Amino acid sequence: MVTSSKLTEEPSLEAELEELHTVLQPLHLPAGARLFEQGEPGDRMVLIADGQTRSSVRLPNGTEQTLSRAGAGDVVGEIALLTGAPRSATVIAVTPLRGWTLDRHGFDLLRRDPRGAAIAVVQRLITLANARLRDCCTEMEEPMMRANAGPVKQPDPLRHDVPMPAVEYLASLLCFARFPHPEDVDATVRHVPANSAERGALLIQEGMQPPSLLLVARGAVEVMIRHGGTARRVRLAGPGRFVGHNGILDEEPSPVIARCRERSVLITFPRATIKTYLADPSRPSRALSTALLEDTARAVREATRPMASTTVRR
Amino acid sequence: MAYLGKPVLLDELLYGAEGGFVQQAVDPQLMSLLNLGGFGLAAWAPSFPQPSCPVTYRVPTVPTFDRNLRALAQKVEATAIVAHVRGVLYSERERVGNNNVHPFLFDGTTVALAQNGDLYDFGRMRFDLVERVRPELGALIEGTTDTEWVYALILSMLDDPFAWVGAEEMAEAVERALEVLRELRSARGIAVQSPVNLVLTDGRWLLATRFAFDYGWYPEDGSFFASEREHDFTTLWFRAPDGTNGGSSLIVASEPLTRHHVGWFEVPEYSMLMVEQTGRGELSVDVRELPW
Repeated sequence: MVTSSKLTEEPSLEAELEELHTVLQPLHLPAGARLFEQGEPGDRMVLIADGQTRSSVRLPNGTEQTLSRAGAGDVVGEIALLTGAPRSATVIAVTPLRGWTLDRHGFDLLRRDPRGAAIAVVQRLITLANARLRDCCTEMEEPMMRANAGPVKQPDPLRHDVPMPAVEYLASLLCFARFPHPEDVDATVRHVPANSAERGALLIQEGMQPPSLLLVARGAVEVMIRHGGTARRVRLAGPGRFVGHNGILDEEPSPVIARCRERSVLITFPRATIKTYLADPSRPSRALSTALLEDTARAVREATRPMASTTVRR
Repeated sequence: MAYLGKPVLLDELLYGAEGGFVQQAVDPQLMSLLNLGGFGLAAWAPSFPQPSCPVTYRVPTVPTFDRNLRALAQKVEATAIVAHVRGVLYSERERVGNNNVHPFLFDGTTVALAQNGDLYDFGRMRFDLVERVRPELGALIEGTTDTEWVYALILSMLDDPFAWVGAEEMAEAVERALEVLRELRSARGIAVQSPVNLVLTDGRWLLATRFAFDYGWYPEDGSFFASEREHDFTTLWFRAPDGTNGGSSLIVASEPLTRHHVGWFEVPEYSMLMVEQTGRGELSVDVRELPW
């Protein structure tokens, strides 16, 4: 899997980005130009080749707070484009900027594009979104008290007592909604198992590498950072949402725990299967790869929503 | 929507400059359906005659067109408010009328309740609930909604449903009522997604839940609820303009009342928000996990 989180880091994708000129539009902006405005619809992302941007948010008291800066090799604005959410921040070019714009139409072309360049760019965007998700979890973890961790519980085994949900049902879920053909849904789940787990079952333990990426078909899985008497929700994954991005996509220990909040039916994609799908040019694999990219972006959006911490039950 | 804190003109919350609560009847941002089944509110203020008894206003019409409500809102200041626009399916089978408009407040009790939720297949549970609701409360039920039964069930969990209760005691009653509902659903084999977002207040404290039974299990009936929707775990938000703990006012709403969400916090799924007055004009705010 690609490990770099920057588009222009080694292995550089500059050549691939040039090859995708029918999908990406070249972008040249002067210093001071506004790329995105907080609250606007997210209709495009920008891939930066040269230059720097600054993102900021308006605070309730009317002041502005700088969130981050981005430079060569970074991508800005992808979370809003991939999730359909309004822009969470205003982004301004602080130096002259050169790069590429990928709009919704371009992304839809990329979704179906079997060329190696398109596969490499989608893979890199997944890696980048996954790294963002890990950063969010790390940031959440820092202010929390690590106390009384106690013995580490192993994840509960999944049960093999449910059939794969019908393709018609799966196709109705948002993650499969943009698959160009219903038979592609069947093709992506035909060789992987469906499992069940009871309410309360521990699926992923913090600090351990999960063996599989889980797609919730029915029920709900709670992804949390939980220390001492406080918990922060990273996401509640209902039907059509993946669990286990951090750990499967970067082959690092999971920063979160995942537990079934409801009894659940889970489609289980082993790490090797995901790796194969991400590199495969076939139409179902391309559709699943971009669905996974969109879901990773959605997980980032959910992890960064302003949310209260909860007092947990013992 | 609910409010607790410094005196505020109803107009500010219902028709705010950036779009108030009334707008959610015809232009909700985080729901697929419009909320056309009626409007109701209860409001408390120390300056009212009998301050423990709220002003109530309940009509089965769309508040957007209600001049009386606007005129009232421009004159009344309150320190605690619960208001609700009722969402119903677009069907002749729905019962739209005064008796089904939230918030509910039984005569002689002190706590008002409104709900954004829907207990799936409630008709099969209604008569099971007769066994769990105190007869003196069951006798006060006038409408046909699941919410009024949930309200009666929660009050039935109290030692004395007609006495003043504290927020902590009420939180326990809510949790016990949710356990009873889970038990009854299980006994009837009802295992379909059913949101239960409640807001309760007696004018001194405020509780709100963001909860669902069997989230992620859609009905296989071809209905509106039969497949995934963007916000199918009903959302709950709060805003404390001058800080959460130690601040002097807090607004709770099913979606932000302003166009931008700046300053609003989401209440996590499966949790309860508890807001109490500390006695120094300040509020304490706690968000706690609801039982597994």
